[in-house]
Formats: sequence, C-alpha cells, structure tokens
Amino acid sequence: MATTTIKVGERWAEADGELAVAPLEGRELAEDGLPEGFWEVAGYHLNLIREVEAMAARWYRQGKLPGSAYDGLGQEGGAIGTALALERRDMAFPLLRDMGVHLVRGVPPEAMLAHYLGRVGGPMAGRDGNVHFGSPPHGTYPTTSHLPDMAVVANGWALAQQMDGTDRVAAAWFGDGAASTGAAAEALICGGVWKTPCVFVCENNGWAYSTPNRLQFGGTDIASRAEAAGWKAWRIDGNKVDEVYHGMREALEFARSGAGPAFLEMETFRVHGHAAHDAATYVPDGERDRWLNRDPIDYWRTAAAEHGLAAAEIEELSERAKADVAEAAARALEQPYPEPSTVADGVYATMIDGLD
Amino acid sequence: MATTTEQRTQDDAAGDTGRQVTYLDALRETLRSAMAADDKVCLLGEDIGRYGGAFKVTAGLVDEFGTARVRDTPIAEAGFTGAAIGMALAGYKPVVELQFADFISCAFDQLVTVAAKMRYRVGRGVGIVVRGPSGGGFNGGPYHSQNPEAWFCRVPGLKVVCPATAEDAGALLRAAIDDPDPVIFFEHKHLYRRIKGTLTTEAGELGRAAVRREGSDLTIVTYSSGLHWSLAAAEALADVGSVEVVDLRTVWPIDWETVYASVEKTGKLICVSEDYGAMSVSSEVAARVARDRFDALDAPIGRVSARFTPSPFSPTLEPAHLPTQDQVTAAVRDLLEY
Repeated sequence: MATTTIKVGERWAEADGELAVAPLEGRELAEDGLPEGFWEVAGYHLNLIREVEAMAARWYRQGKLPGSAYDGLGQEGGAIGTALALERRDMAFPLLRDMGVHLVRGVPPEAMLAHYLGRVGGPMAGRDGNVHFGSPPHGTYPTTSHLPDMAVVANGWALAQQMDGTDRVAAAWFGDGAASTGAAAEALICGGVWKTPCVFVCENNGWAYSTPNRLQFGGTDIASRAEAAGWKAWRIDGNKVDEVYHGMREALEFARSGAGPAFLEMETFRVHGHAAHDAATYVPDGERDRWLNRDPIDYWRTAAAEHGLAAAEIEELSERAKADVAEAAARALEQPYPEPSTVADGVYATMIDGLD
Repeated sequence: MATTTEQRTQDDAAGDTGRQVTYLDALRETLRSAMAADDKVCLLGEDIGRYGGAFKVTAGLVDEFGTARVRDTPIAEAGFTGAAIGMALAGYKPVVELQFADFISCAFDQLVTVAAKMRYRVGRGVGIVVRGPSGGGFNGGPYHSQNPEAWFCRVPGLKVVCPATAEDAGALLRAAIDDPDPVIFFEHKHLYRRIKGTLTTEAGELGRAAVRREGSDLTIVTYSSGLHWSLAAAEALADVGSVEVVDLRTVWPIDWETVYASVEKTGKLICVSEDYGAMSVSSEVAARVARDRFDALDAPIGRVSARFTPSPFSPTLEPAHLPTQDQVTAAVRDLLEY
C-alpha cells in the first residue's frame, strides 16, 4: 500500500472557501426563472453524483471499499437543485444523501472517491470516510454520524455572518429521522430567536433506516415545527430539480435579506436501503414502485427535452458524467493511503507529548 | 441586588491590573479585557446579559459590549454550544457559559462529536471555551454540584482546565480564549468569592502545572478545590514531614514533567481531588507515575476523593460524600509515616 505523510487539512490548505464554485451564479434568468444553462448543468451533476455513488457501491461489492457504502439514489434532485441555488460565498453543511452538494461546490469527484477508499483525497486525509466528507476550501463541512449536529453548527456560522454584517447564508441538510432529535429542535429554537441567515433543507424521504414517518412523528409534516419556531417554511417536491432550485432560491433570498431563517421540507424517497448492507425489505413494494416512476434523473430527461435540450445533448451529458467518474475512479485508486506514523497528527493544533 | 452589581462593576472598572480581586472578579476582568482587545471574542449563555449570569460572572459586560457579543440564549445548551462551534469556524472566539457545569451533559454531543474531532477530521480547529461552575459543598444536590472534568479528559481534541487560584482563573481563562483548540474550563463555585489574588490580563500557559508549596518528603498532586485542602494539610503537618503540593491547573493534557520531577524528589505520591477517584484525573496520575516512575516510589500511591455516589443533597449526606479536610490531612499523615 503506497502511503503519504500529507497531513490532515494540508490539501488546499491555503484556500478558505476560495475553491467554491457556484456554476449558475450570475447567469441571466429566463422567463421561467431558471438561469441560462440550468438544464445542462443540473443534468450533468445529477448524473455525476449518481455515478460516483454507483462506483462506491461497486467497490463495496468488490471488497475494495473499507466500511460500508451509503447513497442517495432517488434523492439527487434535492441535493443538486438546492446546491445549484447557493452562491459561492455561502457555506454548505450537507448530509449523507446530499453528497452531490460537494460536487456542485467544485469538489473533484476523484477527491470524494479517494476519501471513500480511505485514501488521501481531500483535506480529510483518511481521518474519516465514506459520506463523512467535507472540504472547507470548497465551502463545505463534513457531517458527523450524530444527526443533525452540523445543522446546529450551521446556525452558528450564520449567526457569525449576521454579526459581521455579510450577506452570506449557511445551508444545512438533514432528513426526517434527524429532525426528531433535540439537536434539531434546539437549532430551530436558537435560529428562530436570533433570526439567523440560515436555511435548513429537510429531505423527508419517508424512512429513517427502517423507521417510517408514521413511527417517526405524530404530526402531518416537519415544516410546521420550523414555523412554530419562527422559521419561514415551505414544502416542495424534492424530486423535481427545477422546483427544488426555485424553492431553494426563495429560501436563500429570504434568509439573505435578513428576514430570518428558512426551512425547506422536500418530499422524496430513498430508493436503496440505509446503506449497502440493507436490502430495505421493510419498504412495501408498491411504495418503491410509485417512487421509481418519479426518478429525478428521468424527470430531468423529460423536462430538459421540454425545455429544448436535444436528445443527443441529454445523452452526451449522461455519458460525460459516466466517463468523468470512470476517469476519477481510476485516479482515486492510484491515490496513496495516509502513512500510519501520521495517526496522531492534528488532534491538537500543536503536537502534545505524553498523551498515551 | 442591582445596586450591589452596579457597585461591583464600578469597583472593577476603577481598578487596574495588579490589584487584589476575587476568583470571580478575575474571570470577569479577563472576559472584559479579552473582549476589549479583540472584537471576535463573544459570550453566549443563559441569563448572562442584563442579569449578569447566575453567579454574576458577566455582570455589566452587556452594557459595555452589547447584546450581540454578550448573548442571552434560549435554554438550549446543545443549540448555543453548537452555534459557538459554527461561529468559531467563521472566525469568532466564543466563550460559552454554562449556568452550572452539570448542564454540560446537555451539550456533550456538540463538544465530543463535533468540536473535539473537527481538527482531526478536516484540519480546521474549533477555538471555543466552554466555562461553568463545578463542585459541591453547599447542598446543591445531584445536579448543581458535580465535577465533570474526567468526562472530557478522555476525549482526544479537548483540553480541560480547573483553576484553583484567582490568578489562574484569569490567566488561564485568557489562555483558553487564545487557544486554537476547544477548551473546557471548570471554575469551582465555592472559590468564586472566597479567595483573592492579583489580577493579571496576561495569558497563562495551558498544560503547565504549578508547585504551590515546595517539600521533600511527599508529593500531593491536586487541582481546583483540592489545592486548598492540600495546602492546609501540608501546613498542619509541617512538623511531621515536608510536603510538596503540585497544582495541575490543566487537568488534560497533564504536565507530566512537573509531576514526575516532584515524585522523583519526594518518593511518595498522594492524589487529592473533589471528583471521584475511580476513572479520574487522580487515577490517571497514579497509573502514569506507577508506570513511568516506579523506581522513584517508596510507598504505595495514595488517593483522597469523593465517594462514588451522586452528589447528595442533605446536610448530613453531602459531607459523607465529599472528601473532608480531616480525611486529606489524615491520609497525608499516614503516607508520610509509611
């Protein structure tokens, strides 16, 4: 196993969000409110994240992937649609079903794939793996397993913007299961009182691991909790990338204006199990079938065609994403692992003797 | 009450560094000078604004620095501790007040899951301070008397400070604010108004112990309230033996150099803490000395600590739970005479 002594945070260390990309920022809006090139950019990224996650799942089955593999198959519309509405200067705190956010922000697929493999891909240098990915140089922070802890943090990042007088917004993603925690409630309570420029995207995919909505909460929805805490809230279809984009833009504009925090509940569906080891046999067949008819990439293909994208262009975007991921995967497999002697690097700012 | 607070604030403002202040005033003056020096230093906590905090540590600061930098929070320890983490990632140096140290359990996840591991995972440190009053002795019962320091000493990425003197309350708080890593800062509420020291606005050094009394026959390793029992025992036993008292000050990471040097000199060690003995700072000190300085020891390592029970309320039970001055003195005497 080839190894490297590169330290955690060293890759792109000089950048503090400067590497972040907002592919549609500043583009002219068409009559339907979508920026020029929306369907191309959205389509490429929808396919890109699906291919990245399919690669990780393949590696898992081949025994190449340490740990487990998680994916957001069926939820790509939510991740890509929201991420495309962000501006470059915003900060993203995505969760495990929204890994596409990192790609939209400009993280090279190779870095994310190397990270899945436990190799030195991005700034995390093998210290954490799989969906715990983030790259502050690109304006994204990694999730923890304790959900939605980073939503609480995002609210504080947003508070700092308010105090600094910037118009940057923090966005955090989480699901219907994470919404049940005290952390979610406390973030809503604090954000509502402080009127932080913060957007929470709650992807209600119907299932938290094997627990359905009806065993997760007694009310009719999650957005009303945010409203009760003083957040402006919307419920939208999470599988239609253009609707998601519009919804997120509205939420971001609201938060950016200083009017207070905004909450977007998106109805969607997790097609696969919680992770690669979970066949999700607990999901009734009829339910999965219904949602397979609402696949976000199928929707994009139809909608893009309706908006004037030629069939060949649609194919080309899908093929390009596939080819880019194949290339990125080959490069990721060439990446070195972290050198074992670096295991204690980065626990504290300065190395401290006598900890063992 | 309001008059008292105002009066105290005026008294504080009237003085300068070098004057004698209480442990509590040293904390306030340090917060004030740190906030005056750097507008990124800000405070979050329950009732810390106009009310000045449950113990009045922040009294008057909101008038000086405003409600944004001295922020009254909802009763949401995870919510505002997590917010402090996000603020730190955005360039602030937040100091979180817990009304009682016991409530740190409500913020445990944010500290242990998020703050402690952030630098290791992604190369970005979380420079926050989480401070609050710990310790018992006043019938506070199970939820207002605990000493939670050991919970956090075994979390890679966190530093834990337990000042025992007024000087340290100020100097180490300043060092904690300046530190780029998350620091948990447990003040002993019994010491708030009972001890005084010289005010300094200069930062001390985290991870550095202090020899509070030099001696040649026995070493006491202690911290926080334990220092005062230890110094009294050393004084009371001056005719029996010469006792050296080491105040750890930072209970993680520990200044092993100072601990080892003292044990090498005296050959005897006893650990004194208000916390439990089991799985504690004291047990770690004993284990390390037994491993690394076994040849220097002339006697078994001693320990005085609280009984392994929740902190009981009743005036008859709490003293049975906490270590007493008599127990400390007797244990030190026994070890001196070993």
